[in-house]
Amino acid sequence: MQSFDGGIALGSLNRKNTRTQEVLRFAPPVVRLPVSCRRAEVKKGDKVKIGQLIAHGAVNSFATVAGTIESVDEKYITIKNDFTEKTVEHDVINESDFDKLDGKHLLSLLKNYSILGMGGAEFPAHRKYSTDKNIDAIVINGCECEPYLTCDYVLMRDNFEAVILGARLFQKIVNAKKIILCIEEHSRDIIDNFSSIEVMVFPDKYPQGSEKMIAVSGFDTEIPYGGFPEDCGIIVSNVSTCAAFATAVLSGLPPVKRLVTVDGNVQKPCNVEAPFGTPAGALLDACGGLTDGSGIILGGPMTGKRITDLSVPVTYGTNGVLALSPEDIKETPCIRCGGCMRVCPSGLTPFRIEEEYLAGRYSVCKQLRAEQCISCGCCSFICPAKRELAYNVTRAKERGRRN
Amino acid sequence: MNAPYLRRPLKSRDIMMNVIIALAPACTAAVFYFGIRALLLILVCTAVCVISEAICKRSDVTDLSAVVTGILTALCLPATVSLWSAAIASAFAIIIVKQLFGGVGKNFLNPALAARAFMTLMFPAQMTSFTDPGTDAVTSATPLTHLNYSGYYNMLIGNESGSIGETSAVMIILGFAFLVYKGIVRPEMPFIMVGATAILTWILGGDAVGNVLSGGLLLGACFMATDFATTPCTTSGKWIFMLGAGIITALIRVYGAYPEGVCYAILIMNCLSPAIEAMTLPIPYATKKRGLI
Repeated sequence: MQSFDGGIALGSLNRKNTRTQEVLRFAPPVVRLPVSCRRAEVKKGDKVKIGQLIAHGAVNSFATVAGTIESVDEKYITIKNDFTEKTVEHDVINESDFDKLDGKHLLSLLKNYSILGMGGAEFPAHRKYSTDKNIDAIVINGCECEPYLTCDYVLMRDNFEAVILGARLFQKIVNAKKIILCIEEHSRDIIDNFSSIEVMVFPDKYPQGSEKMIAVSGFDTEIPYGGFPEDCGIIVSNVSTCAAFATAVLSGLPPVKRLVTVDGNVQKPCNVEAPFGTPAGALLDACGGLTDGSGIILGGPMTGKRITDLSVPVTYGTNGVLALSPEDIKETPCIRCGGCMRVCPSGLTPFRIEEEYLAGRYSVCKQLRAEQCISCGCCSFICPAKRELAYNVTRAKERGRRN
Repeated sequence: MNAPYLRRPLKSRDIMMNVIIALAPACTAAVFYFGIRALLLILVCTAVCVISEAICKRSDVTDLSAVVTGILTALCLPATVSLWSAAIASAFAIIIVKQLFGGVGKNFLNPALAARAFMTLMFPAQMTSFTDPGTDAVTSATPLTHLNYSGYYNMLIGNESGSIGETSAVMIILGFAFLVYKGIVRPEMPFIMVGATAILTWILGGDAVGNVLSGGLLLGACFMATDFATTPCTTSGKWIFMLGAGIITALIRVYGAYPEGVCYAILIMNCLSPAIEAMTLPIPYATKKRGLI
């Protein structure tokens, strides 16, 4: 398999320790569901059941546990779990009736259930699939290229039928010709689970999981500037998104939980199946608690966000909760080694963009194509001067997009 | 700290430390062939560079870049230069060439070579009289003017006259091999420059082998022309840089009034480096056009 230019072979840093650990099913005492840009449909004291609509908007929000609404504020709806696991009434669909479902109906389900991309970016799936372009292939993205994260691998190992079924449903929506699973070399041992579909195995290189890199490695094409994968005739969905859609369609309930990798400085690192809204702190406690006063990161170590408030909840895109001890690094002047440029998968010159950005020359940043940055973090990773390249180039990109 | 929360352990200081280690064989050869005088030169140049760097306060002395500059400055001086003129050259390298242009990574000329050029201008008599190893007698002739003076074997091991760090081809290559092993420099780079000089010298009717082994060619190709700050940071840009430096070296050596061309060849290419870099920048994803050009 060919690969894209740049990127980093993380080698021994690509730690995947939680693969062999048993999956923990966790029911948190409270969940906190974000309400941003939605209208809350419940008030304090209401009883809710799993799958009940609690906030309405462009993206709906559903109760992920059964219990009582504890509070509703501008940011979160908090539900106290009564552990009864009661669900709203729902119609179970047998897999044998699968053929009766037509694309239009499936697309409306995708919208009603408000399924978001579970690879990290949380892009609404119904917007991805309401394309009128000719789609050649549905690409199931199983390139779990960030270190620590293993939840997609575990899903592909244990629940592969749902992954394939979800992809078939997506295929129906856009009439795609085929389904292709993309994985990296380190996940090769689950390849037999997917003998019914085409599988592409890429070399282990970060950030292979980015859509733009999959287009290059797998299809020898580039997603046009400002465009989407559909412009190249492919739609890329994370394995978790596929599985979540299949489960939702079969059960008649919106997705309410996902697998989250909890790793780093915790007593018992493992994958946890947790409802959306589970506070990060509760997840860490479920894994035995912290072994030292670490920095908590939501997501992977390369692109995740550091949080200080442990009540921040797990959402669709939260594939990891990591307790890492980030070293106190000191930025030193750039020595022009060119490392950032060589590892940039977008072919940018991060050290130049950073310099221009910090000097306030935003138009030069634009000329240097800062907007093509995918914020993968390779430049900051490689930098011997420990400069915050990814952070500054991302800011340059965002500034360029605003203007 | 911002994302990524996983960083490569290698720091700028580690790179500088590796360069210092890589220069150790050449320093050893310098002291072996030119005695205590060479050691004094290396110590004085390094000390003056570090002190100058500390005075400027612009960058952190602990990044060891001033030590590298100091050692390189000493290695391209003849053993006979007076210590005080070596000290002036070192201060010039750091204060004028490096710090005045913004400190580490920002200077556009190689400080050690600029210092050597400065010395040649200011103290021409000192810079063109070389001693034979092991003697204190000054030979007025420069080694490049009569190439087969000491024989290829002696040139290879360093038993010839010249600047203190330039003479031992074996030790320079040994140090360079270490840099390649550490992944700091691409292995093909000095071959391009040395090859270009050798081939062009041969075409022009000169002694190719003698030219490769003599003067500052190997030291320049391995340690000066591979400097990060003053060469293009793109790989193809570095190739062009090396090729240009090699060609200019041969032309100066064959046609120039001055027998040694490496120093000026690299300095000239240093000046062209930003342009070469701009022309060889990678093409960003899905744009098919280089940035800025």
